[in-house]
Amino acid sequence: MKGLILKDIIVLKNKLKLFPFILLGILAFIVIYFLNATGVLVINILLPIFLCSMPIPLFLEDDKANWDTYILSTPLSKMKIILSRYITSFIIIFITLLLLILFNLLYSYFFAAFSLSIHMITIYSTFFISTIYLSLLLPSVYYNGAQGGSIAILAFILICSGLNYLNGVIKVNAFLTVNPVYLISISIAIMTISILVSLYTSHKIYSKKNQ
Amino acid sequence: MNTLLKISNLKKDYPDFSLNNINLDLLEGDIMGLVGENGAGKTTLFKLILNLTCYEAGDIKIFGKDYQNNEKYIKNKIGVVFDNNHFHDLLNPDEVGKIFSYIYDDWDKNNYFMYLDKFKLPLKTNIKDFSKGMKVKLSFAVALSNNPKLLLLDESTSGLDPIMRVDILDVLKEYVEKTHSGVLISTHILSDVERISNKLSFLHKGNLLFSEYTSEITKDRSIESVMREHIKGADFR
Repeated sequence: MKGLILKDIIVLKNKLKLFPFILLGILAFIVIYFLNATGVLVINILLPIFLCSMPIPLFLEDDKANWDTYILSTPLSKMKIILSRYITSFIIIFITLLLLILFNLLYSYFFAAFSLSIHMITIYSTFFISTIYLSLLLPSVYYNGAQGGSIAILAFILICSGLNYLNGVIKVNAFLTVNPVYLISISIAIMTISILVSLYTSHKIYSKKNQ
Repeated sequence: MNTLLKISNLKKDYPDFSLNNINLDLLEGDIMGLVGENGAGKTTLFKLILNLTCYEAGDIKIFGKDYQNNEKYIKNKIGVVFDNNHFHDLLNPDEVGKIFSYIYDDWDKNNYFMYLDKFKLPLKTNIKDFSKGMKVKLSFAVALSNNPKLLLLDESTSGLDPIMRVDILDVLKEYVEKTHSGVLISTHILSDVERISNKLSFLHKGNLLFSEYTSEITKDRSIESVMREHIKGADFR
């Protein structure tokens, strides 16, 4: 499994060009320059969600090399092959979030417009959203190939719209008055369940495809 | 001598094709050539041996074990080369070596570098800049570096020029002699079979028409004429 994670990281490193990241950096700078602390919060949410799509090029490269036929002839089980892709995807998210935490700490130290806890709550919320999005994205890409990315985005927008609708019906805002410890525990439980269901679904799809 | 691969009464059905009653024995030191026309079932047989697809009836034993509960053990001792390159264009041989050192339990780093050197493959050049021959050589370097007891080569030398083919076949022969391993090699090129195989199996329309020692087959006839006779007999039946 370590070998596959290493492979994914090397392929990503060799595939990604520096230019889009410079562009992203400039864009982030402009947003923060004009929106100040609100801009930082916007970046906290949008950047990790944007980077959630980084595993898609890995699927494309695997398809191009017909890698699956080969890797299935090695001692790695199908579950380990799937799991390694999940781990790589979460490594990307974790690194992004760690960098964001560092940036937010520095920003709130030097330009404290909001309290640090607001910054940290946004980062945790983004972690939650990214986890749900990745849980939808990976099985979708296993099933539909690169197109699965668009399907996952659609499904994600539908879920968000559904929650927005529910907000009017059952007052989701009421959850915000709940003890934060309960909220964190519930969110961790939801993330764990969504990852496990996603992993199970991806494994089923992958096994069926490679029978 | 130990049996490395034993296939008994194997049957696999597809809607438009079936592999019928396949029986094969590959012992230590054997190099078995598997020949047959396109669509004869060679690749299907390789997929079955590698547990990439399931079968309807029969039995496959590798190193005396079946895949149930022994998949990791078996696949750690198998080396595979397919007809196409399966390594990502964006990787170089050095990175490929690092990746596979984590995948196989018995990966021999020194052996890998020795084969890269023997095949004159650059360590830091991306695979996308390799010729077809270089890609095949890299596949062989990987396949031989986990010290496999059984090598499965599916049309791996087709598309190579004769000099490169001879080079690779000689390395293969040397490896088998040194390690007492076994090789199952599927190919269309009969001269390759004559050069290295001590056993020959012939698949025709999903049926194994014969599986014998090459020396027996070529005692008074050419491989080609024996194959023609068997095809005639099979089609007549």
